[in-house]
Amino acid sequence: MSTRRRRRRPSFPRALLILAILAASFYGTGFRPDLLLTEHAVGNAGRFLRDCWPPYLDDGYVLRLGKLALDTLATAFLGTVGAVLIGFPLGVFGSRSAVFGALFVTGEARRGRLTKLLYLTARGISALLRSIPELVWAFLFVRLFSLGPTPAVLGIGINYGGMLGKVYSEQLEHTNPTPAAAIEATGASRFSAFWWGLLPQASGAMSAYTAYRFECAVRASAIMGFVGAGGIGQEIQLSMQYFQFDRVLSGVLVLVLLVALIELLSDAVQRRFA
Amino acid sequence: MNAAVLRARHPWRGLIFLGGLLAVVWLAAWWVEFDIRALFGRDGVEAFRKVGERLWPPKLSSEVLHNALTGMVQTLALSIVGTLFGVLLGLLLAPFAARTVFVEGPLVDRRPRGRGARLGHKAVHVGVRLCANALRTIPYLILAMLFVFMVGLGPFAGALALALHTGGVFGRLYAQAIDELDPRPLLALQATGASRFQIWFYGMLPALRPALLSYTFYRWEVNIREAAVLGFVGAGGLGYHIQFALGTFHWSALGTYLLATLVLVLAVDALSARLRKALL
Repeated sequence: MSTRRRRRRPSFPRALLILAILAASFYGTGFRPDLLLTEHAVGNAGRFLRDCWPPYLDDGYVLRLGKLALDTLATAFLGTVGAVLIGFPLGVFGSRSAVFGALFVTGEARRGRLTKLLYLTARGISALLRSIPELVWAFLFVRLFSLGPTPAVLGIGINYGGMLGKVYSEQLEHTNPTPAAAIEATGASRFSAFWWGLLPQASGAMSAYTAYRFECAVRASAIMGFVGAGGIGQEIQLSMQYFQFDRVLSGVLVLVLLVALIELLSDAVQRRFA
Repeated sequence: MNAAVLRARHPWRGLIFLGGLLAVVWLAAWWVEFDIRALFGRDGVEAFRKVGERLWPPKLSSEVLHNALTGMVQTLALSIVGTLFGVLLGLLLAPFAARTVFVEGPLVDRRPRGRGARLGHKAVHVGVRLCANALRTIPYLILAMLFVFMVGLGPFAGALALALHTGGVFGRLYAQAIDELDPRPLLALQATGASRFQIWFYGMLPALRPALLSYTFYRWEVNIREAAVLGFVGAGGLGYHIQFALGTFHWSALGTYLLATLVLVLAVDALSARLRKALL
Protein backbone atom coordinates (compact mmCIF):
# COMPACT_ATOMS: atom_id res chain seq x y z
CA MET A 1 0.00 0.00 0.00
CA SER A 2 2.69 2.46 0.99
CA THR A 3 4.80 1.79 -2.12
CA ARG A 4 1.77 2.27 -4.31
CA ARG A 5 1.00 5.54 -2.70
CA ARG A 6 4.58 6.73 -3.05
CA ARG A 7 4.58 5.92 -6.74
CA ARG A 8 1.36 7.87 -7.23
CA ARG A 9 2.66 11.05 -5.66
CA PRO A 10 3.74 13.41 -8.46
CA SER A 11 7.48 13.84 -8.82
CA PHE A 12 9.02 17.28 -8.45
CA PRO A 13 9.31 18.05 -12.20
CA ARG A 14 5.76 16.88 -12.74
CA ALA A 15 4.47 19.08 -9.92
CA LEU A 16 6.37 21.98 -11.47
CA LEU A 17 4.77 21.25 -14.85
CA ILE A 18 1.29 21.21 -13.32
CA LEU A 19 1.98 24.51 -11.57
CA ALA A 20 3.27 26.00 -14.81
CA ILE A 21 0.14 24.92 -16.67
CA LEU A 22 -2.09 26.41 -13.98
CA ALA A 23 -0.12 29.65 -13.96
CA ALA A 24 -0.31 29.87 -17.75
CA SER A 25 -4.06 29.24 -17.58
CA PHE A 26 -4.56 32.04 -15.09
CA TYR A 27 -2.49 34.32 -17.25
CA GLY A 28 -4.36 33.22 -20.37
CA THR A 29 -7.75 34.11 -18.91
CA GLY A 30 -6.55 37.49 -17.68
CA PHE A 31 -7.42 36.46 -14.15
CA ARG A 32 -7.53 39.68 -12.14
CA PRO A 33 -9.66 39.40 -9.01
CA ASP A 34 -9.00 43.08 -8.31
CA LEU A 35 -11.26 43.85 -11.29
CA LEU A 36 -14.16 42.62 -9.16
CA LEU A 37 -13.56 45.40 -6.65
CA THR A 38 -13.33 48.38 -8.97
CA GLU A 39 -15.91 51.09 -8.61
CA HIS A 40 -17.40 50.11 -11.95
CA ALA A 41 -17.79 46.44 -11.00
CA VAL A 42 -19.20 47.10 -7.54
CA GLY A 43 -21.50 49.78 -8.91
CA ASN A 44 -22.85 47.52 -11.64
CA ALA A 45 -23.31 44.61 -9.26
CA GLY A 46 -25.18 46.90 -6.91
CA ARG A 47 -27.33 48.18 -9.74
CA PHE A 48 -28.19 44.63 -10.77
CA LEU A 49 -29.12 43.60 -7.23
CA ARG A 50 -31.15 46.76 -6.67
CA ASP A 51 -33.04 46.53 -9.94
CA CYS A 52 -33.70 42.80 -10.05
CA TRP A 53 -35.91 42.82 -6.97
CA PRO A 54 -38.86 42.42 -7.02
CA PRO A 55 -39.05 40.22 -10.11
CA TYR A 56 -41.39 41.49 -12.82
CA LEU A 57 -44.50 39.37 -12.38
CA ASP A 58 -47.10 41.11 -14.50
CA ASP A 59 -49.82 38.59 -15.47
CA GLY A 60 -49.25 38.88 -19.19
CA TYR A 61 -45.51 38.59 -18.78
CA VAL A 62 -45.72 35.47 -16.64
CA LEU A 63 -48.01 33.93 -19.22
CA ARG A 64 -45.51 34.78 -21.93
CA LEU A 65 -42.67 33.23 -19.91
CA GLY A 66 -44.77 30.12 -19.40
CA LYS A 67 -45.29 29.80 -23.14
CA LEU A 68 -41.55 30.28 -23.75
CA ALA A 69 -40.76 27.66 -21.09
CA LEU A 70 -43.02 25.21 -22.93
CA ASP A 71 -41.18 26.09 -26.16
CA THR A 72 -37.91 25.31 -24.43
CA LEU A 73 -39.25 22.03 -23.10
CA ALA A 74 -40.69 20.94 -26.46
CA THR A 75 -37.44 21.86 -28.21
CA ALA A 76 -35.42 19.82 -25.71
CA PHE A 77 -37.77 16.87 -26.12
CA LEU A 78 -37.63 16.91 -29.91
CA GLY A 79 -33.86 17.32 -29.75
CA THR A 80 -33.56 14.31 -27.47
CA VAL A 81 -35.75 12.22 -29.76
CA GLY A 82 -33.53 13.22 -32.68
CA ALA A 83 -30.46 12.40 -30.61
CA VAL A 84 -31.77 8.91 -29.91
CA LEU A 85 -32.53 8.40 -33.62
CA ILE A 86 -28.95 9.43 -34.45
CA GLY A 87 -27.24 7.94 -31.42
CA PHE A 88 -28.80 4.47 -31.47
CA PRO A 89 -27.35 3.35 -34.82
CA LEU A 90 -24.06 5.05 -33.99
CA GLY A 91 -23.96 3.23 -30.67
CA VAL A 92 -24.82 -0.15 -32.15
CA PHE A 93 -22.33 0.09 -35.00
CA GLY A 94 -19.74 1.66 -32.72
CA SER A 95 -19.74 -1.15 -30.16
CA ARG A 96 -17.44 -4.12 -30.52
CA SER A 97 -19.92 -6.46 -28.94
CA ALA A 98 -22.56 -5.74 -31.59
CA VAL A 99 -20.35 -5.30 -34.65
CA PHE A 100 -17.72 -7.93 -33.86
CA GLY A 101 -20.17 -10.11 -31.96
CA ALA A 102 -23.86 -10.58 -32.20
CA LEU A 103 -24.68 -8.54 -35.26
CA PHE A 104 -22.05 -9.32 -37.87
CA VAL A 105 -19.36 -11.74 -36.81
CA THR A 106 -19.73 -14.54 -34.33
CA GLY A 107 -17.59 -17.23 -32.87
CA GLU A 108 -14.05 -17.42 -34.07
CA ALA A 109 -14.79 -15.85 -37.44
CA ARG A 110 -12.20 -13.27 -38.46
CA ARG A 111 -13.07 -9.63 -38.41
CA GLY A 112 -14.03 -8.59 -41.90
CA ARG A 113 -12.56 -5.44 -43.30
CA LEU A 114 -15.99 -4.03 -44.04
CA THR A 115 -17.31 -4.55 -40.52
CA LYS A 116 -14.19 -2.88 -39.16
CA LEU A 117 -14.74 0.06 -41.49
CA LEU A 118 -18.34 0.30 -40.31
CA TYR A 119 -17.20 0.28 -36.70
CA LEU A 120 -14.58 2.99 -37.24
CA THR A 121 -16.97 5.15 -39.28
CA ALA A 122 -19.59 5.03 -36.53
CA ARG A 123 -17.00 5.94 -33.90
CA GLY A 124 -15.63 8.77 -36.05
CA ILE A 125 -19.02 10.28 -36.79
CA SER A 126 -20.04 10.18 -33.16
CA ALA A 127 -16.76 11.88 -32.13
CA LEU A 128 -17.28 14.57 -34.77
CA LEU A 129 -20.88 15.25 -33.75
CA ARG A 130 -20.21 15.49 -30.03
CA SER A 131 -17.08 17.65 -30.31
CA ILE A 132 -18.78 20.73 -31.75
CA PRO A 133 -20.94 22.24 -28.98
CA GLU A 134 -24.71 22.22 -29.50
CA LEU A 135 -24.85 26.00 -29.46
CA VAL A 136 -22.38 26.22 -32.35
CA TRP A 137 -24.39 23.67 -34.35
CA ALA A 138 -27.55 25.64 -33.64
CA PHE A 139 -25.95 28.91 -34.72
CA LEU A 140 -24.82 27.27 -37.94
CA PHE A 141 -28.38 26.09 -38.61
CA VAL A 142 -29.80 29.50 -37.76
CA ARG A 143 -27.67 30.85 -40.58
CA LEU A 144 -28.67 27.94 -42.84
CA PHE A 145 -32.41 27.78 -42.33
CA SER A 146 -34.14 30.32 -40.18
CA LEU A 147 -34.51 31.73 -36.74
CA GLY A 148 -36.70 29.77 -34.36
CA PRO A 149 -36.70 26.39 -32.70
CA THR A 150 -35.85 24.20 -35.71
CA PRO A 151 -32.10 25.00 -35.53
CA ALA A 152 -32.16 24.42 -31.77
CA VAL A 153 -33.72 20.98 -32.23
CA LEU A 154 -31.10 20.11 -34.83
CA GLY A 155 -28.23 21.41 -32.69
CA ILE A 156 -29.28 19.35 -29.68
CA GLY A 157 -30.11 16.32 -31.80
CA ILE A 158 -26.75 16.29 -33.56
CA ASN A 159 -24.50 17.06 -30.59
CA TYR A 160 -26.36 14.75 -28.19
CA GLY A 161 -26.64 12.11 -30.90
CA GLY A 162 -22.85 11.91 -30.85
CA MET A 163 -22.77 11.72 -27.06
CA LEU A 164 -25.48 9.06 -26.91
CA GLY A 165 -23.64 7.12 -29.62
CA LYS A 166 -20.52 6.99 -27.49
CA VAL A 167 -22.27 6.08 -24.25
CA TYR A 168 -24.64 3.55 -25.87
CA SER A 169 -21.67 1.79 -27.44
CA GLU A 170 -19.92 1.57 -24.07
CA GLN A 171 -23.08 0.27 -22.44
CA LEU A 172 -23.53 -2.33 -25.17
CA GLU A 173 -19.95 -3.43 -24.68
CA HIS A 174 -20.56 -4.01 -20.98
CA THR A 175 -22.76 -6.99 -21.74
CA ASN A 176 -22.40 -10.70 -21.56
CA PRO A 177 -22.04 -12.20 -25.06
CA THR A 178 -23.29 -15.69 -24.17
CA PRO A 179 -27.08 -15.08 -24.37
CA ALA A 180 -26.76 -13.75 -27.91
CA ALA A 181 -24.58 -16.70 -28.92
CA ALA A 182 -27.07 -19.11 -27.35
CA ILE A 183 -29.96 -17.55 -29.25
CA GLU A 184 -28.03 -17.75 -32.47
CA ALA A 185 -27.18 -21.38 -31.80
CA THR A 186 -30.91 -22.15 -31.88
CA GLY A 187 -30.90 -21.04 -35.52
CA ALA A 188 -32.23 -17.52 -34.97
CA SER A 189 -31.00 -14.71 -37.19
CA ARG A 190 -28.14 -12.45 -36.17
CA PHE A 191 -30.58 -9.61 -35.77
CA SER A 192 -32.75 -11.60 -33.32
CA ALA A 193 -29.62 -12.60 -31.43
CA PHE A 194 -28.74 -8.93 -31.07
CA TRP A 195 -32.27 -7.73 -30.37
CA TRP A 196 -33.22 -10.39 -27.80
CA GLY A 197 -29.81 -11.45 -26.50
CA LEU A 198 -27.70 -8.32 -26.32
CA LEU A 199 -29.95 -5.26 -26.29
CA PRO A 200 -32.09 -6.18 -23.24
CA GLN A 201 -28.92 -6.38 -21.14
CA ALA A 202 -28.09 -2.74 -21.87
CA SER A 203 -31.54 -1.21 -22.37
CA GLY A 204 -31.98 -0.22 -18.71
CA ALA A 205 -28.70 1.67 -18.55
CA MET A 206 -29.38 3.20 -21.97
CA SER A 207 -32.81 4.46 -20.89
CA ALA A 208 -31.39 5.91 -17.68
CA TYR A 209 -28.66 7.76 -19.57
CA THR A 210 -31.16 9.04 -22.12
CA ALA A 211 -33.27 10.45 -19.28
CA TYR A 212 -30.18 12.18 -17.92
CA ARG A 213 -29.46 13.61 -21.37
CA PHE A 214 -33.00 14.92 -21.65
CA GLU A 215 -32.36 16.83 -18.45
CA CYS A 216 -29.19 18.29 -20.01
CA ALA A 217 -31.12 19.06 -23.18
CA VAL A 218 -33.57 21.25 -21.26
CA ARG A 219 -30.63 23.23 -19.92
CA ALA A 220 -29.06 23.46 -23.39
CA SER A 221 -32.38 24.41 -24.95
CA ALA A 222 -32.71 27.23 -22.43
CA ILE A 223 -29.64 29.00 -23.82
CA MET A 224 -30.48 28.46 -27.48
CA GLY A 225 -32.00 31.92 -27.54
CA PHE A 226 -28.51 33.38 -27.40
CA VAL A 227 -28.05 32.50 -31.07
CA GLY A 228 -31.59 33.42 -32.04
CA ALA A 229 -33.03 29.94 -31.76
CA GLY A 230 -35.95 30.89 -29.55
CA GLY A 231 -37.09 29.71 -26.16
CA ILE A 232 -36.87 31.33 -22.78
CA GLY A 233 -33.15 32.09 -23.19
CA GLN A 234 -33.89 34.65 -25.87
CA GLU A 235 -36.23 36.55 -23.57
CA ILE A 236 -33.67 36.54 -20.73
CA GLN A 237 -30.91 37.67 -23.04
CA LEU A 238 -32.99 40.52 -24.45
CA SER A 239 -33.98 41.71 -20.97
CA MET A 240 -30.32 41.57 -20.03
CA GLN A 241 -29.37 43.71 -23.01
CA TYR A 242 -32.00 46.30 -22.13
CA PHE A 243 -30.87 46.24 -18.48
CA GLN A 244 -34.36 45.14 -17.37
CA PHE A 245 -33.00 43.10 -14.51
CA ASP A 246 -36.38 42.48 -12.88
CA ARG A 247 -37.41 40.66 -16.06
CA VAL A 248 -34.11 38.77 -16.06
CA LEU A 249 -34.89 37.53 -12.58
CA SER A 250 -38.43 36.41 -13.44
CA GLY A 251 -37.09 34.60 -16.52
CA VAL A 252 -34.41 32.88 -14.48
CA LEU A 253 -36.95 31.91 -11.82
CA VAL A 254 -39.27 30.31 -14.37
CA LEU A 255 -36.28 28.52 -15.90
CA VAL A 256 -35.05 27.23 -12.54
CA LEU A 257 -38.55 25.94 -11.82
CA LEU A 258 -38.69 24.15 -15.17
CA VAL A 259 -35.25 22.57 -14.74
CA ALA A 260 -36.05 21.45 -11.19
CA LEU A 261 -39.25 19.81 -12.41
CA ILE A 262 -37.46 17.97 -15.22
CA GLU A 263 -34.72 16.87 -12.83
CA LEU A 264 -37.30 15.28 -10.54
CA LEU A 265 -38.80 13.46 -13.52
CA SER A 266 -35.42 12.38 -14.87
CA ASP A 267 -34.25 11.20 -11.44
CA ALA A 268 -37.38 9.08 -11.14
CA VAL A 269 -36.75 7.50 -14.55
CA GLN A 270 -33.09 6.91 -13.73
CA ARG A 271 -33.95 5.25 -10.42
CA ARG A 272 -36.51 3.07 -12.17
CA PHE A 273 -33.93 1.75 -14.64
CA ALA A 274 -30.78 1.83 -12.52
CA MET B 1 -33.38 -7.94 -18.32
CA ASN B 2 -36.26 -6.82 -16.21
CA ALA B 3 -37.64 -5.05 -19.23
CA ALA B 4 -37.49 -8.22 -21.31
CA VAL B 5 -39.50 -10.14 -18.73
CA LEU B 6 -42.12 -7.41 -18.60
CA ARG B 7 -42.35 -7.27 -22.36
CA ALA B 8 -43.04 -10.96 -22.47
CA ARG B 9 -45.86 -10.48 -20.00
CA HIS B 10 -47.63 -7.64 -21.79
CA PRO B 11 -47.43 -8.06 -25.53
CA TRP B 12 -48.99 -4.65 -26.23
CA ARG B 13 -46.78 -2.72 -23.86
CA GLY B 14 -44.17 -1.78 -26.46
CA LEU B 15 -46.76 -0.66 -28.98
CA ILE B 16 -48.65 1.46 -26.47
CA PHE B 17 -45.40 3.08 -25.36
CA LEU B 18 -44.39 3.78 -28.94
CA GLY B 19 -47.82 5.22 -29.77
CA GLY B 20 -47.70 7.52 -26.74
CA LEU B 21 -44.20 8.64 -27.62
CA LEU B 22 -45.19 9.44 -31.20
CA ALA B 23 -48.19 11.41 -29.97
CA VAL B 24 -45.99 13.50 -27.66
CA VAL B 25 -43.44 14.05 -30.47
CA TRP B 26 -46.23 15.20 -32.75
CA LEU B 27 -47.60 17.51 -30.07
CA ALA B 28 -44.17 19.01 -29.39
CA ALA B 29 -43.47 19.46 -33.10
CA TRP B 30 -46.83 21.17 -33.57
CA TRP B 31 -46.23 23.44 -30.57
CA VAL B 32 -42.85 24.77 -31.75
CA GLU B 33 -43.82 24.59 -35.45
CA PHE B 34 -40.88 22.30 -36.13
CA ASP B 35 -40.26 22.25 -39.85
CA ILE B 36 -38.95 18.85 -40.88
CA ARG B 37 -39.22 19.76 -44.56
CA ALA B 38 -36.64 22.50 -44.10
CA LEU B 39 -34.27 19.69 -43.27
CA PHE B 40 -35.05 16.90 -45.70
CA GLY B 41 -36.68 18.86 -48.52
CA ARG B 42 -34.73 20.00 -51.54
CA ASP B 43 -33.84 23.32 -49.91
CA GLY B 44 -32.46 21.57 -46.85
CA VAL B 45 -30.17 19.29 -48.80
CA GLU B 46 -29.09 22.20 -50.95
CA ALA B 47 -28.28 24.28 -47.85
CA PHE B 48 -26.17 21.49 -46.38
CA ARG B 49 -24.27 21.07 -49.64
CA LYS B 50 -23.63 24.79 -49.90
CA VAL B 51 -22.35 25.06 -46.38
CA GLY B 52 -20.03 22.12 -46.88
CA GLU B 53 -18.63 23.77 -49.98
CA ARG B 54 -18.14 27.07 -48.20
CA LEU B 55 -16.52 25.65 -45.08
CA TRP B 56 -14.01 23.58 -47.03
CA PRO B 57 -11.17 24.30 -47.57
CA PRO B 58 -10.68 26.22 -44.31
CA LYS B 59 -9.01 29.58 -44.63
CA LEU B 60 -5.38 29.50 -43.55
CA SER B 61 -4.35 33.14 -43.69
CA SER B 62 -1.99 34.24 -40.95
CA GLU B 63 -4.69 36.33 -39.28
CA VAL B 64 -7.18 33.50 -39.12
CA LEU B 65 -4.54 31.05 -37.91
CA HIS B 66 -3.45 33.48 -35.24
CA ASN B 67 -7.06 33.91 -34.08
CA ALA B 68 -7.61 30.17 -34.07
CA LEU B 69 -4.46 29.46 -32.08
CA THR B 70 -4.95 32.17 -29.46
CA GLY B 71 -8.60 31.16 -29.27
CA MET B 72 -7.66 27.55 -28.61
CA VAL B 73 -5.18 28.49 -25.89
CA GLN B 74 -7.66 30.83 -24.25
CA THR B 75 -10.47 28.26 -24.39
CA LEU B 76 -8.21 25.63 -22.83
CA ALA B 77 -7.12 28.08 -20.14
CA LEU B 78 -10.76 28.96 -19.43
CA SER B 79 -11.71 25.33 -19.04
CA ILE B 80 -8.78 24.66 -16.68
CA VAL B 81 -9.36 27.72 -14.49
CA GLY B 82 -13.11 27.12 -14.44
CA THR B 83 -12.70 23.48 -13.45
CA LEU B 84 -10.04 24.24 -10.81
CA PHE B 85 -12.12 26.90 -9.10
CA GLY B 86 -15.17 24.72 -9.48
CA VAL B 87 -13.40 21.97 -7.54
CA LEU B 88 -12.40 24.38 -4.78
CA LEU B 89 -15.89 25.88 -4.55
CA GLY B 90 -17.46 22.44 -4.70
CA LEU B 91 -15.25 21.16 -1.88
CA LEU B 92 -16.24 24.20 0.12
CA LEU B 93 -19.99 23.78 -0.47
CA ALA B 94 -20.29 19.99 -0.39
CA PRO B 95 -19.79 19.32 3.35
CA PHE B 96 -22.54 21.80 4.16
CA ALA B 97 -24.81 20.48 1.43
CA ALA B 98 -24.38 16.83 2.45
CA ARG B 99 -26.91 15.44 4.90
CA THR B 100 -24.50 12.98 6.49
CA VAL B 101 -22.02 15.65 7.46
CA PHE B 102 -24.21 18.40 8.70
CA VAL B 103 -27.57 16.97 9.66
CA GLU B 104 -27.04 13.36 10.69
CA GLY B 105 -24.26 10.82 10.94
CA PRO B 106 -20.90 10.56 12.72
CA LEU B 107 -19.67 13.98 11.70
CA VAL B 108 -22.46 15.84 13.43
CA ASP B 109 -21.48 17.61 16.58
CA ARG B 110 -22.82 15.47 19.44
CA ARG B 111 -22.54 18.06 22.15
CA PRO B 112 -25.91 18.98 23.58
CA ARG B 113 -27.19 22.09 21.90
CA GLY B 114 -30.21 24.29 22.14
CA ARG B 115 -33.05 24.20 19.68
CA GLY B 116 -31.88 27.45 18.15
CA ALA B 117 -28.45 26.06 17.30
CA ARG B 118 -30.00 22.98 15.71
CA LEU B 119 -32.29 25.12 13.63
CA GLY B 120 -29.36 27.32 12.65
CA HIS B 121 -27.47 24.24 11.49
CA LYS B 122 -30.40 23.13 9.42
CA ALA B 123 -30.77 26.62 7.95
CA VAL B 124 -27.12 26.67 6.84
CA HIS B 125 -27.56 23.24 5.25
CA VAL B 126 -30.67 24.27 3.34
CA GLY B 127 -29.19 27.64 2.40
CA VAL B 128 -26.00 26.15 0.95
CA ARG B 129 -28.01 23.55 -0.93
CA LEU B 130 -30.21 26.24 -2.45
CA CYS B 131 -27.18 28.30 -3.37
CA ALA B 132 -25.43 25.36 -5.08
CA ASN B 133 -28.62 24.49 -6.93
CA ALA B 134 -29.09 28.07 -8.11
CA LEU B 135 -25.53 28.27 -9.43
CA ARG B 136 -26.03 24.94 -11.17
CA THR B 137 -29.36 25.75 -12.78
CA ILE B 138 -28.73 29.30 -13.97
CA PRO B 139 -27.29 28.83 -17.45
CA TYR B 140 -23.58 29.64 -17.60
CA LEU B 141 -24.12 32.06 -20.49
CA ILE B 142 -26.42 34.17 -18.33
CA LEU B 143 -23.83 34.17 -15.54
CA ALA B 144 -21.23 35.15 -18.14
CA MET B 145 -23.40 38.06 -19.31
CA LEU B 146 -23.73 39.22 -15.71
CA PHE B 147 -19.98 39.14 -15.21
CA VAL B 148 -19.41 40.91 -18.51
CA PHE B 149 -21.71 43.60 -17.15
CA MET B 150 -19.57 43.72 -14.00
CA VAL B 151 -15.95 43.40 -15.15
CA GLY B 152 -16.25 44.13 -18.84
CA LEU B 153 -15.71 42.06 -21.98
CA GLY B 154 -12.98 39.43 -21.98
CA PRO B 155 -12.06 36.00 -20.71
CA PHE B 156 -11.98 36.97 -17.04
CA ALA B 157 -15.78 37.26 -17.04
CA GLY B 158 -15.99 33.85 -18.69
CA ALA B 159 -13.64 32.29 -16.14
CA LEU B 160 -15.75 33.62 -13.28
CA ALA B 161 -18.98 32.36 -14.84
CA LEU B 162 -17.55 28.93 -15.54
CA ALA B 163 -16.04 28.69 -12.05
CA LEU B 164 -19.32 29.57 -10.30
CA HIS B 165 -21.40 27.28 -12.49
CA THR B 166 -18.97 24.37 -12.08
CA GLY B 167 -18.80 25.03 -8.34
CA GLY B 168 -22.57 24.63 -8.12
CA VAL B 169 -22.48 21.40 -10.10
CA PHE B 170 -19.64 19.98 -7.99
CA GLY B 171 -21.30 21.10 -4.77
CA ARG B 172 -24.26 18.90 -5.59
CA LEU B 173 -22.30 15.97 -7.04
CA TYR B 174 -19.77 15.88 -4.20
CA ALA B 175 -22.54 16.14 -1.61
CA GLN B 176 -24.29 13.21 -3.27
CA ALA B 177 -21.04 11.23 -3.19
CA ILE B 178 -20.63 12.00 0.51
CA ASP B 179 -24.19 10.93 1.26
CA GLU B 180 -23.68 7.64 -0.57
CA LEU B 181 -20.58 6.72 1.44
CA ASP B 182 -20.68 3.53 3.48
CA PRO B 183 -21.15 4.85 7.05
CA ARG B 184 -19.66 1.77 8.78
CA PRO B 185 -15.94 2.66 8.46
CA LEU B 186 -16.77 6.14 9.67
CA LEU B 187 -18.63 4.80 12.69
CA ALA B 188 -15.70 2.47 13.37
CA LEU B 189 -13.36 5.46 13.29
CA GLN B 190 -15.66 7.29 15.63
CA ALA B 191 -15.68 4.33 18.01
CA THR B 192 -11.87 4.51 18.24
CA GLY B 193 -12.25 8.06 19.47
CA ALA B 194 -11.32 9.91 16.30
CA SER B 195 -12.21 13.58 16.22
CA ARG B 196 -14.67 14.89 13.67
CA PHE B 197 -11.84 16.40 11.67
CA GLN B 198 -10.00 13.05 11.70
CA ILE B 199 -13.13 11.25 10.51
CA TRP B 200 -13.47 13.75 7.67
CA PHE B 201 -9.81 13.65 6.70
CA TYR B 202 -8.95 9.97 7.15
CA GLY B 203 -12.33 8.34 6.75
CA MET B 204 -14.27 10.36 4.19
CA LEU B 205 -11.80 12.00 1.84
CA PRO B 206 -9.91 8.80 0.88
CA ALA B 207 -13.19 6.99 0.25
CA LEU B 208 -14.41 9.92 -1.86
CA ARG B 209 -11.26 10.17 -3.97
CA PRO B 210 -12.37 7.99 -6.94
CA ALA B 211 -15.77 9.68 -7.20
CA LEU B 212 -14.29 13.17 -6.89
CA LEU B 213 -11.66 12.48 -9.53
CA SER B 214 -14.03 10.95 -12.04
CA TYR B 215 -16.58 13.77 -11.60
CA THR B 216 -13.82 16.33 -12.02
CA PHE B 217 -12.52 14.89 -15.27
CA TYR B 218 -16.02 14.35 -16.61
CA ARG B 219 -16.78 17.98 -15.91
CA TRP B 220 -13.57 19.15 -17.54
CA GLU B 221 -14.81 17.55 -20.76
CA VAL B 222 -18.09 19.45 -20.38
CA ASN B 223 -16.29 22.68 -19.52
CA ILE B 224 -14.08 22.68 -22.60
CA ARG B 225 -17.29 22.67 -24.67
CA GLU B 226 -18.86 25.41 -22.56
CA ALA B 227 -15.65 27.45 -22.74
CA ALA B 228 -15.82 27.21 -26.52
CA VAL B 229 -19.14 29.08 -26.60
CA LEU B 230 -18.52 31.64 -23.84
CA GLY B 231 -17.31 33.98 -26.57
CA PHE B 232 -20.89 34.22 -27.87
CA VAL B 233 -21.54 36.74 -25.10
CA GLY B 234 -18.09 38.30 -25.34
CA ALA B 235 -16.49 36.30 -22.54
CA GLY B 236 -13.41 35.07 -24.38
CA GLY B 237 -12.24 31.95 -26.18
CA LEU B 238 -12.89 30.45 -29.60
CA GLY B 239 -16.58 31.28 -29.43
CA TYR B 240 -15.89 34.93 -30.12
CA HIS B 241 -14.23 34.14 -33.45
CA ILE B 242 -16.88 31.58 -34.36
CA GLN B 243 -19.63 34.08 -33.69
CA PHE B 244 -17.87 36.85 -35.58
CA ALA B 245 -17.21 34.65 -38.61
CA LEU B 246 -20.81 33.42 -38.66
CA GLY B 247 -22.21 36.88 -38.15
CA THR B 248 -20.20 38.33 -41.03
CA PHE B 249 -20.55 35.27 -43.30
CA HIS B 250 -16.82 34.51 -43.36
CA TRP B 251 -17.46 30.85 -44.10
CA SER B 252 -13.94 29.66 -44.85
CA ALA B 253 -12.57 31.31 -41.69
CA LEU B 254 -15.44 29.65 -39.82
CA GLY B 255 -14.22 26.34 -41.19
CA THR B 256 -10.84 26.93 -39.56
CA TYR B 257 -12.38 27.87 -36.22
CA LEU B 258 -14.69 24.85 -36.24
CA LEU B 259 -11.73 22.63 -37.02
CA ALA B 260 -9.81 24.23 -34.14
CA THR B 261 -12.74 23.55 -31.79
CA LEU B 262 -12.92 19.96 -32.97
CA VAL B 263 -9.20 19.37 -32.44
CA LEU B 264 -9.20 21.02 -29.03
CA VAL B 265 -12.24 19.16 -27.71
CA LEU B 266 -11.04 15.81 -29.01
CA ALA B 267 -7.60 16.41 -27.48
CA VAL B 268 -9.11 17.28 -24.09
CA ASP B 269 -11.40 14.24 -24.22
CA ALA B 270 -8.43 11.98 -24.96
CA LEU B 271 -6.21 13.59 -22.32
CA SER B 272 -8.97 13.41 -19.73
CA ALA B 273 -9.54 9.72 -20.45
CA ARG B 274 -5.82 9.00 -20.08
CA LEU B 275 -5.46 10.97 -16.86
CA ARG B 276 -8.53 9.30 -15.42
CA LYS B 277 -7.10 5.89 -16.20
CA ALA B 278 -3.71 6.83 -14.71
CA LEU B 279 -5.15 8.27 -11.51
CA LEU B 280 -8.00 5.89 -10.74
